[in-house]
Amino acid sequence: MKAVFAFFMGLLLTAHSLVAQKADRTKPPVSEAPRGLIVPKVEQFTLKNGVKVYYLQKTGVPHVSITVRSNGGTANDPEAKIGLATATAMLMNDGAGNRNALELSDEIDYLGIILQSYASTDEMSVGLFTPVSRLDASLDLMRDVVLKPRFEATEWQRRQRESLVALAQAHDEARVIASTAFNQLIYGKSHPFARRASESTLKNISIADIQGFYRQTITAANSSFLVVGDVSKETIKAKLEARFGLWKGGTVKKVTISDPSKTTGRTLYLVDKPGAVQTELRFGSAGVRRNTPDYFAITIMNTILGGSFSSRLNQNIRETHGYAYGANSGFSFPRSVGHFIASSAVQTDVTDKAVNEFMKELTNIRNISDDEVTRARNYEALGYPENFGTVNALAANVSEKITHNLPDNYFNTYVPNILALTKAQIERAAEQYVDPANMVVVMVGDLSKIRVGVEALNLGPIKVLTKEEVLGAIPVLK
Amino acid sequence: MKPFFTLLFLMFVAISGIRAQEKALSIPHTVYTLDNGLTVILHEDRTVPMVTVNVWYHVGSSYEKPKRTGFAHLFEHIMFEGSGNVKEGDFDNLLEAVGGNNNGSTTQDRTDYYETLPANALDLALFLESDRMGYLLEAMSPGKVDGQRDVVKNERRQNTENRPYGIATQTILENFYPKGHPYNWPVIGYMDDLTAASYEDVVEFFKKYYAPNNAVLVIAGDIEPTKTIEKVKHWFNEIPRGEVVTRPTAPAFELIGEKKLTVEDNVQLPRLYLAYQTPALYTPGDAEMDVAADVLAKGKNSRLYKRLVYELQIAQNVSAYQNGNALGGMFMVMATARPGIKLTQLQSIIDEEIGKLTITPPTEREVQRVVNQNESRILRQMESSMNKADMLQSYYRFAGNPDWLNEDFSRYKALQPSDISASARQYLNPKKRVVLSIVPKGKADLAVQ
Repeated sequence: MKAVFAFFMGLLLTAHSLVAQKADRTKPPVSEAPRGLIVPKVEQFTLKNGVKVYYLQKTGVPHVSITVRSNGGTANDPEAKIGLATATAMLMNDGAGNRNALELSDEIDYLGIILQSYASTDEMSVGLFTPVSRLDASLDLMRDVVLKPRFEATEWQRRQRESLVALAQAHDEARVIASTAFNQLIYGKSHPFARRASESTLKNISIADIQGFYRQTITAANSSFLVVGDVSKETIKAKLEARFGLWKGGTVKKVTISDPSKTTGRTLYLVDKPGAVQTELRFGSAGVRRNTPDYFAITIMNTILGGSFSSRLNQNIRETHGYAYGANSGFSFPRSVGHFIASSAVQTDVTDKAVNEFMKELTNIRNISDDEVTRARNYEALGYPENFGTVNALAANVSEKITHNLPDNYFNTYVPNILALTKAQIERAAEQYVDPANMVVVMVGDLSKIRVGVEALNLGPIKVLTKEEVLGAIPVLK
Repeated sequence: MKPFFTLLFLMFVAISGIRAQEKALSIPHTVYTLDNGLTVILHEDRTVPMVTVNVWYHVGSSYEKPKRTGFAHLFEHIMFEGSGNVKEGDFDNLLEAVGGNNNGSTTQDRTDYYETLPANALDLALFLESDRMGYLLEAMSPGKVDGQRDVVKNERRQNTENRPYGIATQTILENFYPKGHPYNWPVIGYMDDLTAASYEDVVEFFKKYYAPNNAVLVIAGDIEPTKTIEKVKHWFNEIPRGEVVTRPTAPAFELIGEKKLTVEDNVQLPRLYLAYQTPALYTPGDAEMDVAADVLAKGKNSRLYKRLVYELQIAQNVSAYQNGNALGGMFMVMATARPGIKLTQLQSIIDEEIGKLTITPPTEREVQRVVNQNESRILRQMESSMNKADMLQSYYRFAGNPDWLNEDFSRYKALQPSDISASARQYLNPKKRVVLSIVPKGKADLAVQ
């Protein structure tokens, strides 16, 4: 025995000297202790005119992000002039101060900066992203865009035509039809999150309307700055004072967005897209406010349901069945009550089967395993520092914090808040916020191929909508 | 815990000399080669306690066999399905359990895999990457191939058949490159070829292309380089070297004449594509054509945008880009017509504007505008470990030197306006190109005739 043993030992030793020693792969390596991250406090100061500045320094790469944010957005559009806030944002990009549209664009491009105005549902913003070396010239341009937009009628005529054509182009896109129909069914057709500009509302908007919206909205009293990047507080303060110090007036603008009513019952809405090789699927319901104490539990529940690659929806629809390239879910958190949505684009001939699998997962999410809880908590908590690696990522996170008035220690308590969640809390979030019996289901695909199968599922009443009922008539364009 | 934002990696190293105010761009790094041929590049960036592990295999769709188009990308999918010591599903399960994300991508010339994860879990990423590099076949089965085949077919449906204008890329490639040229088909592949892909193909492809000597591993982020290379050796040293990989070669070809094609699609508006043959990535002429593309179609003052969209208002949008790859380049101009406008009309204006650029150099300001925008874009990329890892990979593979960032940018800074017009004259020949019209169903009369 001993001899045999010795013989083998010899072989092993020889092998070792010839081949590199192999790593132990019997189980995955254990990680070292997490290194953690402390995010510094977002500072606040005010300019002499009272305009608030939120500030966070980030060194490393010499560039800066500066955003002017004003309350009010597309939610404030009058019913007959839907598109007004967006038109205002577009026109702010189209000439300011002593530069017309082409001159302004040329200067922005020459400086190699990004300077762009946007309209969201409840906020207007002008965003600047610039290398530190060009900060002065960039801020001069930003001042002009914010304080002295030209609002030229010919520019609005251009933008109006462009917008009308874009409305027509939306009819090509099954995913746009699906998402628009979904929002209309959750919020109601005239709600700010669902309504769309049309040929008539765009044609109703005049330059005077745009100027009026601008004068009411982009005011000192109604705006604040967010600065993130490689610039000191003293420096940026002086530069902003020099350019925006005389900006005065206005009042804080109110944005009222009604909450969607609770989704009741389950109806399937089908939109025909003849010849489509995939069906766009949307499932969902009215959601909850961002400041709910359940926010963290909802986040982790969603990670398990459809918020990560290993989530149940993606594993089922993509990995187990190969019905689609992917499937996911999420909660939207505007300032008002948002929605829950699960979606995918599935192969036409398996649409009924895929819908059935979605319904199973939306039901089964009320029972989760300890393993899933641990993985999802770690996924969200341990990877959290990635949200703070770049100026843009930081600015987005700080912006969210300001919008939702999150506590000062929010970033630094996020990880413990997530890690403290229990399985019971997460299951309760599923029960409360994912209710497959009360859901809107939208399918955009080739009805001649999917309708019979979907009807046979007996999931609820079926209503067929036309593309035009969802998107409106295709604008008549000369 | 580590203080926040303490890192000051010396990215901008002052160069002494006549242009002392200019800074050289660089991504400081260390290069190692393991005994098995694996190239390892390490870059330290301590901004956040995260790390990116990025592996490029020097294989892409241009290496595919006839009747197996799309295989390199299908193979990429299979790489996530488990390996000898990682059971199916665990690649993602394990990474998510430490807070990591991962993905991959395939182009004509390379296949890329990455994990971004907390730096304390670096070993896990190295375990997973080395396990699939060394032991993928131990866990392979025909069932896994079938599963990802269905997923990939749906990826194709989503991006090609079910997307407006989605068929354009494939149509252009087929007509631009001659049969037998390795860029003649789309990376996603054809449905029939995806159907035909077999388990045996997976085995053959893995043995041929997925050896350490055909791969480069970049680790960028919160790392200590000397410790990190020891970790890399621990996980990768045992993987045997493979045979030397033969790179595909492109038959010499020249686009002759104007190939006009028309495809009808479910769209409201007709769209025109013009494709010209241009130099390969990082070779002379590549930067010139890159700048020419932006002079023509980037920003409101670019020549085509200004004419077609801003002044004449006969196009909804216009774009142009130089797409340099290892074996050659393609310059593409794309414009969508406004309702009632025929593509012939767009084409004649485009030809007129390109004609002007071939005769008269652009202004200094036009060129500088493009150069300055490139500089800012590089700055933005320099903030992300993931982007830096990708830049190191690209420079190593296509320029032969991971430290090529400064040379890359210097190509642009050195350009004279006359270089742009000379290259435009050489490459943007209206008699040598593919002209594709995508028109609404039943509206062939809107196409270029």
